[in-house]
Amino acid sequence: MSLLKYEWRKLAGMPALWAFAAMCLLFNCVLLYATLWTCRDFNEGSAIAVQLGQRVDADFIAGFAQLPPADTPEKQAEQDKLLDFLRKMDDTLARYDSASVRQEYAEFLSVSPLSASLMDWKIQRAALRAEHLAQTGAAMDFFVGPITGQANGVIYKIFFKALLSEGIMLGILSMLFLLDYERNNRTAAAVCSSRVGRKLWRTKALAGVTAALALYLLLVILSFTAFFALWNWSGVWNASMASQFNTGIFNQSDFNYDSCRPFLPWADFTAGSYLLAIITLGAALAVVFTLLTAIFGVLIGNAYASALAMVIFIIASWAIWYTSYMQGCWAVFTPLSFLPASLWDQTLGWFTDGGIMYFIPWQETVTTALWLILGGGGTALALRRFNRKDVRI
Amino acid sequence: MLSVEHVTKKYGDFTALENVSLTFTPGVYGLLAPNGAGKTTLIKMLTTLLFPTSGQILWNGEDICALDETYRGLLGYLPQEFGYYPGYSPRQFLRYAAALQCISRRETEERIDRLLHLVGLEDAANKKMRQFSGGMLQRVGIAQAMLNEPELLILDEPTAGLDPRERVRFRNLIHSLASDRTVILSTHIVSDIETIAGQIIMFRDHKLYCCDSPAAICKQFQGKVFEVPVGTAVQPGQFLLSERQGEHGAVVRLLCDMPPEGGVPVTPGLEDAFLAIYRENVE
Repeated sequence: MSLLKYEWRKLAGMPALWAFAAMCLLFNCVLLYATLWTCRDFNEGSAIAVQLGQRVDADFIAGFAQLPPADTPEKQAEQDKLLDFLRKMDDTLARYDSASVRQEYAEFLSVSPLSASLMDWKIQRAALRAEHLAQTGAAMDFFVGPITGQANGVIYKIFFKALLSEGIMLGILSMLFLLDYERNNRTAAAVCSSRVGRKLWRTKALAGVTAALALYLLLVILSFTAFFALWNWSGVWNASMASQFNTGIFNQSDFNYDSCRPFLPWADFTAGSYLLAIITLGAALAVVFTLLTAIFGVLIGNAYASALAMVIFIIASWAIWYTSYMQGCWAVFTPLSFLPASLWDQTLGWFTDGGIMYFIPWQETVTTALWLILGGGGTALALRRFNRKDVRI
Repeated sequence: MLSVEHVTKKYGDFTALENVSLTFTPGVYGLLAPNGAGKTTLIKMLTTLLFPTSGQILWNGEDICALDETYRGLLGYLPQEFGYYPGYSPRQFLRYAAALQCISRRETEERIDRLLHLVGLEDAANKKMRQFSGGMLQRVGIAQAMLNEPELLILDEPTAGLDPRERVRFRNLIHSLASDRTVILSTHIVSDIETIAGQIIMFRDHKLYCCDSPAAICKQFQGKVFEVPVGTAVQPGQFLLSERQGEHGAVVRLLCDMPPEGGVPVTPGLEDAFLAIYRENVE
């Protein structure tokens, strides 16, 4: 524990790290400022939910009809349009047609039998989820009304993704800084010939991982404090993520089935529990990238070269994954969708069926767990090798 | 007892040390060789920073690599280039070094106080090391090397940066420490070890040249070192060793088998022996 504290102290004494963290926070505040329009609409929807509840039923519709008139004719028209929709609203999950989705995906992925069979299996599981969610009436939740999809896009695809990227970068920086600290200060010889010796690098790896987690959580706490100061979630904490208003999740895909299919989470997530789950998985993913950095850092033994290797690994894996998606090379795309970089890209689809992007249920969780094991095992092996290697000073 | 048995260290095609065998018992050993002769390579192998390409190093009959932390726990080491954390004070740095040596907290403070006094840094104990001179940093390095009261103390160029007063103090310190432990001192400054080393180890062409007492090494050149006035032409077969101020002006020391004209025979010192042994390198 004592040595772990010393490693944390080394990290705490790095001004560049804190400067970078401060810049990240500033950037997140700019992002929040840039999304104020969506925030305003979200807050209006949330205020309705506070007043009327989440479930769209007869009471909700009656209450909605009695809402005070809007300030402008345009807004009033929108309100009337929404009231019409609410009156006709039915449970979309109850009429989820998995057979046609299966058929469409089977044709689409026919060039890759493995991808097609995995997708078929996933859709069957998703159909069971849709059936369950239909029984709970989750699709009938209001969330924040028509702005829900766009708002969740802003929250998870922009704001959270920025936060996750910053957390990952801070984790990578922390790990590289700690692994290279002795070389930079010319203390490697004295440290490696001490009783603890090269085993200190185990402590460094542990300190790097814990620091990555701590910095990520610090960013999350501070950024979401600013977020909740602007975004009023009082009406949506208990809203089901499977609300039919929560669409537009996969609208980045050219594959048009995605944009019209419901948001199908693998568990009965509310907005609150989904946010918590996303933040937790983000922490795990930040640890994955930090562990991968540890492998490069220990094997290469130079922070700059290790950083370059890490950047190449991330960009190359993401580029191949994305190109295979754009080109429809599903045989390549399927295994590559299990890479950390592709997982990072798909923050908006975590814990959902994920459309064309995911091939198994809970793919983001499975992928993160897999890479935690690979990263942890790889770091252990790299450290073992480091123990038997000459110290380069 | 530390034994080096047929140790060779190669870096690719380059052989840094070849088939070196040595035995170290309590006492002071001076590693004396020009830069690049393999001193630091041997020291890095003795401190487990490098692994021998072939051969083995044994501590009381057990391989030091197998002994791992048990061996390193009885080792004190001052690297050639002593690194430090600029934002730490000597006291903080020594506390960290104590944690690396797994010394209990209770013992740590007592040892730190004693060592800071020993190296004359009590007054600067809590100052940031970024303000320190080279000599002060070297003294912190010496203190950290002795923190675990090592049975085997290895010092690589320990007097670099020390002023003459500090050098004398350091030599006295080493002398007092050597009674019950092995001290290996690497240097290319002859005066550092001339008076305190019981055995001198020399390398030549990356091989062990000798391991003997200073007297025995100097004896090889008995009757072959002469002083002549400055300006005397150096003849073939004569080798210029050094120059110094004599009673009647500057004189040069020559190494030759036959006495030179006007030459005064002198008792060869370790520096003469060093220069004589490595004369090809100088030439």
